[in-house]
Amino acid sequence: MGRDGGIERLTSTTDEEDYGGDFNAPIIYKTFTDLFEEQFPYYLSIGMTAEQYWDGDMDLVIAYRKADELRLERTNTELWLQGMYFYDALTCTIGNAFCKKGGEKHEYAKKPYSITERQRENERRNEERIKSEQMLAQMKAFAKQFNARRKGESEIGRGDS
Amino acid sequence: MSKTINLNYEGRTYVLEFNRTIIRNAERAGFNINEIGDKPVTMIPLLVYSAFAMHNDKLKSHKIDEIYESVGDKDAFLGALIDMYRDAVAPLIEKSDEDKAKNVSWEASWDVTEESND
Repeated sequence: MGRDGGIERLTSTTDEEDYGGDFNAPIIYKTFTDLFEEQFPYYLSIGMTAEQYWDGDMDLVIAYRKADELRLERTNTELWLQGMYFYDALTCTIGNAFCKKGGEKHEYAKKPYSITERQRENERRNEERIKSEQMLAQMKAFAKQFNARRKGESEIGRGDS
Repeated sequence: MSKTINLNYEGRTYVLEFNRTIIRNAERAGFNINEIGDKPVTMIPLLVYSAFAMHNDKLKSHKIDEIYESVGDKDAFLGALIDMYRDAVAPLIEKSDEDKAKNVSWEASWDVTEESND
């Protein structure tokens, strides 16, 4: 806000422009309308309708800006993920083709990467389930072996008597 | 949510609020928030009519005049209208202020909060 309540926008963008004592440089928006009209195309570009911008709740622009930031972050993550899959694919094809004889071959991921909290949680539960199943199987095998041994011992004992 | 004023007059509640169209129309009609002190006779009615325009567009100007004349503490009422009007730019410039705040810090040699509370 300018000293008199008007809105001003500083024009300086580089170090050279920051010095020189030109204190009359700021561009003053003569009216609020100037600012509204200048910002209007930006808000159209991020999905706001003209009606929402001009006639709707004035704070709606804040939500639209935040939504746009989230959208940008999501796009960025998607592109990064695509790069990761592409890297994996290259490693599994060209990488394996050029790897040493007898060297470890790369394998393309059997399922998509877990990127959401829910997916990670499911993955953790699956791992735990597999571990407990393995433990159960080991215990069963041990019990079977133990029982067999006891049975054998008792048969020997009976034979002795 | 934008700021609003609920004005009760003769058992009826009038909601006063601004949106960008109302402000653009007011400025096209000659309203300038910075001139309210220099040209109160021209500017105050424009501000008051504009505040009514969003939710009470059928209300005649003589009725608005009548309501305004009945307002007790006009200075406080006008102050609230001006605040509400100025707030129209806040959502648009808030972002740049947030960004700037990350790069700048300041400290006064006196207790600023104490003075502002006086």
